[in-house]
Amino acid sequence: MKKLAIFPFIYEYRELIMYSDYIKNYELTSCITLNEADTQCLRKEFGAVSSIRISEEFDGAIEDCDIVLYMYNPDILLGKEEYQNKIARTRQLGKDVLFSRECHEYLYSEEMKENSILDAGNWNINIFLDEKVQYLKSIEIPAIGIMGLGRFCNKFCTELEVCEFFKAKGYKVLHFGSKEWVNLYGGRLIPGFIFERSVSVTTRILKWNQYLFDVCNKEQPDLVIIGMPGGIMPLNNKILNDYGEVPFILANGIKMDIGILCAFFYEQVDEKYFDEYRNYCKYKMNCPVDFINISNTSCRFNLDSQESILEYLHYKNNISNYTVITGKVEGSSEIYNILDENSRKKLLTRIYEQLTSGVSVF
Amino acid sequence: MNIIFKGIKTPKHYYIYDRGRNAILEVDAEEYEELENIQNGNLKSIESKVLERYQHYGFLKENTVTKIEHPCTHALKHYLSNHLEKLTLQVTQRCNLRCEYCIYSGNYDTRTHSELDMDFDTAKRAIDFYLNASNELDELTVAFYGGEPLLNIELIRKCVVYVYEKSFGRRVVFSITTNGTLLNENTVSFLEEHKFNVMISLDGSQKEHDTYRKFQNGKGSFKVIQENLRRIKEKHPEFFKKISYNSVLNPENDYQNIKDYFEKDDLLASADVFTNIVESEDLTQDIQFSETFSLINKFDYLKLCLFMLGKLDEEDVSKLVLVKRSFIYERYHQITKKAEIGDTCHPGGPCIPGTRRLFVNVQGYMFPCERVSETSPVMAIGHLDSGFDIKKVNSLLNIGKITEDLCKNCWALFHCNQCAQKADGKDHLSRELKVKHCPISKGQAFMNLKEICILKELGCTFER
Repeated sequence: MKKLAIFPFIYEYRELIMYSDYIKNYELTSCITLNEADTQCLRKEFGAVSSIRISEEFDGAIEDCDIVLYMYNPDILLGKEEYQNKIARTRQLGKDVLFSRECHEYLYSEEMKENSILDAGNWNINIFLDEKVQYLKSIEIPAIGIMGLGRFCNKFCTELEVCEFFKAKGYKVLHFGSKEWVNLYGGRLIPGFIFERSVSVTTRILKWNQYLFDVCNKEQPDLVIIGMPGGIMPLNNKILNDYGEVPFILANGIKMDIGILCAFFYEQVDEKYFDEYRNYCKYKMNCPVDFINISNTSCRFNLDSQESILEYLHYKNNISNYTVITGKVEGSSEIYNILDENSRKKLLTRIYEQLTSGVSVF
Repeated sequence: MNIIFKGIKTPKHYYIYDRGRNAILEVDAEEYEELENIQNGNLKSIESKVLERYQHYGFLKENTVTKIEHPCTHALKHYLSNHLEKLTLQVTQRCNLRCEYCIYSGNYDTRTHSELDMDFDTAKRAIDFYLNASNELDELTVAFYGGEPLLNIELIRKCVVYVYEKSFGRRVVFSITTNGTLLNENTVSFLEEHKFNVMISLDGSQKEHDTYRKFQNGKGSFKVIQENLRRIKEKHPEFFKKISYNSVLNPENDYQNIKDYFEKDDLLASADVFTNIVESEDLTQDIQFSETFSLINKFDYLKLCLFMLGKLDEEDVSKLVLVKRSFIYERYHQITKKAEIGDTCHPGGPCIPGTRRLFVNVQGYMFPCERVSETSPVMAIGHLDSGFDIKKVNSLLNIGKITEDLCKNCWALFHCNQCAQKADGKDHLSRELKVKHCPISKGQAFMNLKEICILKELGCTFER
C-alpha cells in the first residue's frame, strides 16, 4: 500500500484524517499545512491520530511517503509557481505526484498525465443521448441521497459512514461523492457534465440518468449512495448556492429511497424549519428527507458583509447532541449526529431497517 | 374480506399480483402458500400475519370496486365533439381479389363483397364531420379502406384535395391499406406526393401468399405485387422505404418460409412487417396452428427474450416478433406505477368508440373501427345524417357493465383485452358471448404477467 502525503492540507479536508482508516489503496502518513497556525489548529483537533504527521515542513513531511497528492482550493493563496516548486521538489525526492481534479484544472499543463489525476476517467465521461430515448429510465436499485445546506454540514462524513456500514454487511455499494477525493475511498467523482452550464438542466438530468442506468446495469450494485455537492437552496438573497442546481439534477436522475439532510448546528431550532426543508426536498428535488444529521459546525453571517458572507464555527463532535428542537409533533424528523458513536449507530440501523423491512414490489 | 389477487409461480420464485394496486409482489414460498390458502378459503384472512404485513404496506387490501364504469363516460360527449383522432373512409366495397380468409368472403358474420362505392358527397360529409370534431388534435389522420380502396382512386384524390382545403393550417396524415395489385405509376406518384403511409397486405413468399390471396379468376396475386414493388423501389426509393406490410398468418402456412421471406428477401429485408393471426370464424375459439408453427414461433419468442436480457443482438431476432418488445415494456411500466384503484373501474379493453379510428362505410354509417361487423346494428354508432348515437356509444364504451358482477371481482380487470366486438350479439350486446371469451382473455393476461415476472427475475431492465 502506498504511503500518501497531502499538500496543501486545510481544515476543509479534515475528513481525510477523520476517516483515514477507510482510505483504500493508500496509507495517509502526512498532512502538510501552509503555516504553523494551521498546523496547531489541526493538531489540536486531530493530534490524537498519531499515525498521521501534521506539519508545515514540506521536506520532512514527505520523507516517509511514496506519493504526494496535490489539492487546490480557491480560498488558499498559493500561486502556481509555488505549486510548481513543490512538485519539482517532490520529484527530486523521488516521490510520485497525484493531483486532485481541481488542482489539475488550476495548474493545467500538457505534461500532466491523465493517470496522475484522481478519478479523471469518471469526470471526463461522455454520455451520448439517443434522440429516440429522451426520457428517464427506471433504475431499480435502492438509492440514498445525502444533501446539505452548505459547507461543513458533515455530508461527506455521512456518506462515508453509510457506505462503510453497508460494505461491512457485504453489500456492493456504488458511491458518488460530494468531495473530489472520494476516489481515495473507493467512490467516484460526479461526472463533469453535471456541472456543464452550457447544457440545459433537462439534458443534464437525462444524461445523469442514462449514465447511472448504464453503470448500474453493468456493475449491478446493491445500493447507490449519492452525496450532493453544494447547498440545496439559497440561504438568503445573496448566498444563492446556485439555487441548488447540482443537487436538483442529481436527485432527479434517480428515484431516492432514503434522503438524509445535513444541516448546521443550532442550539435551538423549531421543527417547522425542518418541515420547510422536507417539503422543499420532496417537491422540488423529488427526494424524501427521512433523517436529519446535525453538523458540529454552525454558521453566521460575517458582520461586515451585509449578510453576503458566511462564517463557520467548528465545535466539538458531540455539540449537536445538545440541539433543542421545539415544536416537535408525532412524525417529526429523526435527528442524528454522525460524529457521535451512539447516534451514528442508531441512524445506520434505522436506514438499514427502512431499506430491508419493506415489501418487494415491482 | 374480499381481497383480489392472483398467484404466479415461476420455476424459482413466487409472486402475487395484487389487483387493488395493479402491482406484482415478490413473496417467498410460505407467504405464497398462506395467501393461496386464504384464497381457497382454507384460512381466514384475519388470521393471516402475512396478509397483515402486506396490508400494512398498502397492498392486498379489501376490494373497493363497487361499480364498473369507464372513466371517460362523463366526458364522452366532449370526446365525440372535439377529440376524434382518426377517420377511416370505406371508399368502396369492391375488391379485385377474393382472399379465402377475408372477413368479407361470406365465411364471417359481416357483410360480403359488393359493388358499392362511397360517393363524394358522403365522403365530404364524413370529412366535415371529422374536422368539426377533431379541434383538440394537433394532427389529423385520414385513412382509406375498402374492399380494395385503390379501385376508387378518383374518390381518394378528391378527398385529399377536399381535406387540404378544409383543414388549411393543420397537419394532416393520410394512410391507406391496399392489396398492392393496383399500385401503378400514376397512383404511386400521387401517394408519394401526399406522403401517404401505405400498408400492403402480403402473406409471405409466392407459395404462402398465393395460397389465399387470389384474383377473382383464381390466379395468385403475388407476382403482380412483386412487379409493382420492384418498380416502386426503382423509381420511388424513398417512398418504397416507408411502405409497411401486413401478413396474415394461417394454420396451414409454412411459417419458416414466411419468416425467411420477410427477413432475407432483397426487396423486403429492411421493411416493417406486422403479423396478424387469421380471424377465427368462431370468435370464442382460438385458431389451432401446426406444431411446426408453434415450435418456430416459440423459438423466435425465446430469442426475443434473450435479446431483452442482453444476451443476443437485435439482428439475431426475427423482426416479426421484435415489435412485441415495446408492448411488454409498456405493460411492465404500467405495473410499476402501482395505481390505487377506487370504487369505480372498468376493464382495460375498450377504446372510446368513434374517437380512436372512426370508420364510415359507403352508406355513411359510423362504426368504432373497421374490424367490427357492418351488419351488426349494435355496432353501428351513428350515421352522418344524424351524428353519433350517444346511448349506443356509451353502451359500447361501458361494455364491462354487462358483466359487472363478474368484472368487479375479476383479478384480470386491468389486463382484460376484450372490447365490445367480443360481445356482438347483433341486436344486443351479449353477456353470454363476452363471458365465453373471458377464459382466453384471462389466460392471456396471466401469461403477460408471468412473462414480466420471469424477465425481471432474469435481469431484464425493461428499458431500451
